[in-house]
Amino acid sequence: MHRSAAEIRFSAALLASVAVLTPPALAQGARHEARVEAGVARISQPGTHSRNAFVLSGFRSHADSAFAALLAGNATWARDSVAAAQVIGALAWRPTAMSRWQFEGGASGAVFSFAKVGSDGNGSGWLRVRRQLGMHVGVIAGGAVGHTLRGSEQAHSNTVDVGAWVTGGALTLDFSASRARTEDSLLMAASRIFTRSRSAWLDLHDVAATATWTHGQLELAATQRWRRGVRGTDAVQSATTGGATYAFTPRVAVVISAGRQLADPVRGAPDATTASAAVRFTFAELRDGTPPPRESDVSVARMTDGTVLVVRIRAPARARVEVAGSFSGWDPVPITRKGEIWEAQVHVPPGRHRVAYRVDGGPWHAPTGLARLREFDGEVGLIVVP
Amino acid sequence: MSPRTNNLLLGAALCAAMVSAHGVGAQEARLLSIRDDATRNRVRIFVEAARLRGTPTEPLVSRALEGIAFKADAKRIEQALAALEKRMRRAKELLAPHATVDELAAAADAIANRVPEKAISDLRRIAPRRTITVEIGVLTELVAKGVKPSVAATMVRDLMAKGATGAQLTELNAAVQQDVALGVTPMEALVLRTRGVMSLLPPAASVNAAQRP
Repeated sequence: MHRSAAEIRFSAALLASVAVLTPPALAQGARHEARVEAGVARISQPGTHSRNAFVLSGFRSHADSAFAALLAGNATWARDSVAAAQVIGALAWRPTAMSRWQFEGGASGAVFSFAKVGSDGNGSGWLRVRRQLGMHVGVIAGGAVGHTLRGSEQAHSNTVDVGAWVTGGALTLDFSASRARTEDSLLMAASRIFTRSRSAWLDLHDVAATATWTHGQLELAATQRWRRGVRGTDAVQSATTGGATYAFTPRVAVVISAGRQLADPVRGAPDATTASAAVRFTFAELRDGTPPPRESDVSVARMTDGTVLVVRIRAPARARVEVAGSFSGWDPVPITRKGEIWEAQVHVPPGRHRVAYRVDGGPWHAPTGLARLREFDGEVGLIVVP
Repeated sequence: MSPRTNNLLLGAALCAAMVSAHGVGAQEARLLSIRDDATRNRVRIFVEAARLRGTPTEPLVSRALEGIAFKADAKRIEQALAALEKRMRRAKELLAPHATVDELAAAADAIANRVPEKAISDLRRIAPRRTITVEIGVLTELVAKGVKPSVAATMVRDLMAKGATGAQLTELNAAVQQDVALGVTPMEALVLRTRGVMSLLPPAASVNAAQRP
């Protein structure tokens, strides 16, 4: 039984908001994270009126310095249409913790309708390799294959892609180029990619650029994608998506996004324009009890007039920040604000020093990055000056 | 003994007494920064008793002031001072035949942070004639950061034996910290960075080289 393009449009579009998830970044120690996201979306496709939908997703990950894994699930439901669900599993592996190579792989399975499980769905898998070229730049290459089933209709698709990323301060840029091959003519027609020949296979070239910017609790992301048919179609398309995440607390965030996503033949998701808003609840736990790694707050610098401890603390602009230690007889030394951070330079003699800082006269803390010594129901940092 | 020699000895004794008195005076001034009279008196009594027992008092005064900064009560401070004095006395044995005050304080911190005692005495054996405060401090930092104590002790000992300077060890420690911030485990970072420092050391370096200041 053949089905029209219109019949598959909305059911598959429900999956449009599900992107291919990247395994979590490899981390110091063992890090676990669980996340639940619930929200609403408005979805429209070419040639159809808009629909409202509810979206619920869950995310569970584990990462250490050489291995990371995640399992994610996503379900979408609209009152006047069918529901859809997707499960994704992904792994990342580095031969050694210092290796510049990282290998990633994953698989996803989707049902386009709860009423037709086993007859309407998609399965896909992908492999990627990342190579870090420097502290802030790297390249990536990979490929994916997908199989989509709609009743008696079956279609295969595959894609190969290369890309690069670069980070600078709070900004991260990703670029990618890919070539996709698909025989999913129903999906293509629903996405306004029409064939110009009798060829069963269509080839599409994509180029995409993504910018992600983080400032405090706010993260902004925007993606621009261009597509051109190179075999079997002359289609030329472009799409823009944007999103923002604001974390009210480390555990609660609001996520909003809007834009158009082009059809993804490997995962059977058609062209759709979406606007969504959701609340994200994060349950993170650090098994070893250590805080996430960050650059050290304290460093040693050689000056013409001796050795100084350079202390840099992140604290609100209106705060009063002080540092103290064995070098000052534990007398608080005020720190002055320089740009976005608080900075002090304290002359110290060679030897080992215990150091701590406080904000607004509150409890003393060991600066990040220093070895921590426990004493007096608190922690001080230890630094050695040669 | 000639009159000239007698005069020299008398002068030296007077100078030593003046320096000692100056040190005691400076410490007394620092103790005056403890506002609570009862706490100040208990700290003063403890420090004076420690002095009579032959324990260097400067680290004790510093730790007492740290306790004041952390708003610890007099009893808690006294307990911390007693524990520190005990560790310094043990450190004195490990660093025998002689140790500076800074070395004792550094070794006391090392003991408190699970650095094996044998590792401390090994460092002294490798460098019996120069101060090893930095080396002990680096070892303590590495262990406090999560490196297995036996591994950290072996690495630092081997580097010292091959002639690594205190500055090189401090740089290694900073590099380990940098790697850890990038997500590498402290253990792997130390092993890797140690290889890097080892490759910079002259192959012919020996224990004698390690003893150079």
